[in-house]
Amino acid sequence: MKFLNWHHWGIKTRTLVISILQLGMIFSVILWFYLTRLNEIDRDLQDQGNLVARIMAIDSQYGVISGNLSDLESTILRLLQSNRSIYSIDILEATGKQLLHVSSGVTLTEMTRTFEADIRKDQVDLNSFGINDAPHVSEQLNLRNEDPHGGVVGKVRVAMTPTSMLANKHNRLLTGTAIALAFLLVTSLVAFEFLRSLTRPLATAIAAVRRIRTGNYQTELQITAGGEVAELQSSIIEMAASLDESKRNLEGRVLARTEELAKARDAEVKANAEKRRLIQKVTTAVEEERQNIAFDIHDHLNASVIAVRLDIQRLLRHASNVQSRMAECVPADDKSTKEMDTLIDVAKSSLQYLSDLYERARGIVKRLRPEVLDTLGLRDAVDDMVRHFDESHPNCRFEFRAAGEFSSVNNQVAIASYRLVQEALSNIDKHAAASITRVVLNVDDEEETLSIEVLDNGKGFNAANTEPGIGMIGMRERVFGLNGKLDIASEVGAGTTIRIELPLEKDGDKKFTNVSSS
Amino acid sequence: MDITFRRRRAFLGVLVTCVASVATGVLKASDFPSQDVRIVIADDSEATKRITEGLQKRFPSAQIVAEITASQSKRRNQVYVTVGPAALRAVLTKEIEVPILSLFTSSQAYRSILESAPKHAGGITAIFAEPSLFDQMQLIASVYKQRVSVAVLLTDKTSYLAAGLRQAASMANLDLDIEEIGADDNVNRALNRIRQAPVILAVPDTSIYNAENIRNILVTSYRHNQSVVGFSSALVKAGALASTISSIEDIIVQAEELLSEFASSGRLSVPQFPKYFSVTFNENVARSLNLSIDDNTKRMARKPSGRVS
Repeated sequence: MKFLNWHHWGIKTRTLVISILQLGMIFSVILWFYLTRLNEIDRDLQDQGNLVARIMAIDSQYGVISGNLSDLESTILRLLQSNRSIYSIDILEATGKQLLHVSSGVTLTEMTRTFEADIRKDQVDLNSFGINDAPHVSEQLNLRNEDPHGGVVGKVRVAMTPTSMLANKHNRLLTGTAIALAFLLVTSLVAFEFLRSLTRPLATAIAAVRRIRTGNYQTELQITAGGEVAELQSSIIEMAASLDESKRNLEGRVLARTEELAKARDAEVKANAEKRRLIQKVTTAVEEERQNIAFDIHDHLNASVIAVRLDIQRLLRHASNVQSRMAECVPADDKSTKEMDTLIDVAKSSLQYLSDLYERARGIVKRLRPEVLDTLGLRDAVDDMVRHFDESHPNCRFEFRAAGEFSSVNNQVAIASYRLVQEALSNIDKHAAASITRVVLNVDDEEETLSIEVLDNGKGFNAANTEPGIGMIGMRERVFGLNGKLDIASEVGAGTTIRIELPLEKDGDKKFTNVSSS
Repeated sequence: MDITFRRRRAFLGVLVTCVASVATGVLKASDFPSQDVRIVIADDSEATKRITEGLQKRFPSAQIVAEITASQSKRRNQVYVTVGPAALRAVLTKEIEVPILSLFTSSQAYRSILESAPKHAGGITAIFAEPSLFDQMQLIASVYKQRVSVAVLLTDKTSYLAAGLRQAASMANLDLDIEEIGADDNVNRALNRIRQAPVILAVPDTSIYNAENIRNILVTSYRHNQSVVGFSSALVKAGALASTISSIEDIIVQAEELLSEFASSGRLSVPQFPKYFSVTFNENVARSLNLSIDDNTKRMARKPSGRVS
């Protein structure tokens, strides 16, 4: 069915179809003409027979009237030789007596027909100056003669046979067919030559377009035709040249842009590295400062508090001893007793304050510098922190899981990991209203990464519409500083999952550069 | 070929009349009273109407008579002008004693009617319809510019013309070949006998030249490379080479002259051929016969003074 859709036909197919149609039409016309003419043969025979009979009747007047039939016979013989459709011609007297019979000798067929015409004495418009005429006038009066014909002096009988006409028709059919075929052959050859001269440059043009489509703009197409094809070839050549120039320009621009992007990337990488180093430096500085502060609090403040507490304890012991001795003294000095009681109460209160101060200082030191990291390592430190959160938050159960060998975790990563878990749990405590929180640490020796996962079933948040807080920014910067990867996944009502991967190798730039949230 | 003395004298009379008329020029308008002219017609053909109109212009008071009554036939001071052979025959059958002028009737028809009609006591003359033999011979001589043989076919009805033909041929310096056709003879055979003559002069003879066989004669003569000099424009148009022709007006003028002479002399002229004429040619026939007709020949004519041919 696709073949019947002529819109899909090629030029050769179309030309072939046109040639076939022409051939069919020519043969149809010839056949129709032939069949039509066959039907007309009888009519032509009749017309010709009547015509020949009438002409011979006129031409026979002299012969019949004069009796000189030799000229007439030679005339009829010439006529029979020139017209093969005439079988015979008979010249008869008015009485029917045959004066002359001339036959062509051609084959007589059943279709032979005879035609007759009277031989009349044609009268000339002539005043014969007879005794019964109208007035004799020698000048021409231009009078009308009603009947120029005289009587019948004989008859011509013409026998016509269609044999010659049929042969002529066949010959004409064959000749017409031969001419039509020759004409068709010539026109087809010319058409196909034209077609070849059209399709050849078109094929080269199509090949050139295909090469252009593959990106080869260096076409070797030549203008070999004229007219529209030449315009097409010229257009393709111009298009190829234009595309080649555009490609070169584009390649130049891409190269320049690539170089710019590479430079920008290098600059960004450099900036990121610098930023990372800066963050690490800041973080380290902060941690060091925290440690210094912790050391100061621990070494000086706490020592002082302990010293003061020991002094107050000693003062309290002495005051207790004094109070005991005063109680043994009689009479008792009530005023001194009261002052002593006040002194002991103040001492006890101060001692209590000092104890609280010491505990607070210890807590500050602990937050500033988780000593457990140094003593227990990251795994147990985090475990201790989770347990502490679990103990201090009865409405939420905090769980901790760990896997892998944590000995390869360096101090910097350990502190950062501890702080990240600490900030995540602090956020859960402040915002999540979760009932279950899980912290998972995993060290992958093969990948040389430490993965931290903090999950809760709290109320969650829309990460896209939520501005990150200071704590979250700090987490991102801390992960970025270690060239790690932070991923926060949260949905409102579906809790929050924080996944962090930190490289354990020294050169962590190769593995993690992405910080994202979803 | 045997011409009687009476016929020869009649022809000479006609010839002399013609020559005399030419010599004296055209007569002045007729002194003959037109009220005494009776124009006798026997048909209402177109030719008769035209002739009648022409006569009435010349004779305004003339009466047209289609049927002659007994009272009309008694008036002796009248002249009957008959138009055509039928009118002549009709007048002669009435046995009237008035002079008769026969017009538009050939010499053969005139003679034939007179021979068959009762003897006429009032005097009769005619201006024949056919061209003058003398003029026809002069025309042939002018065409060929040399002495040629002129063949003439005659029957017993036209044999009376032989003397006049010889005279005319002699005056025109032409040879004459008269071929008589007998009652049981054939025209074609006669034509074969005269095939050596370059010219055939046709004279009105209904047994030879009629509408039925004129084509045959003309074709045969053409095949013999002969030219036919005819006696009417119709014959020339049918295929004859040339002829002198006299128009209706020419005949009427001549009739007027004849009647004037009659009025002055009291004697009727002898029958005569037309005096005034022009010539007509068939250029196709001339071209076919390779004949060159010069302008002088084409302009041959004799017309009354004051008229242009």
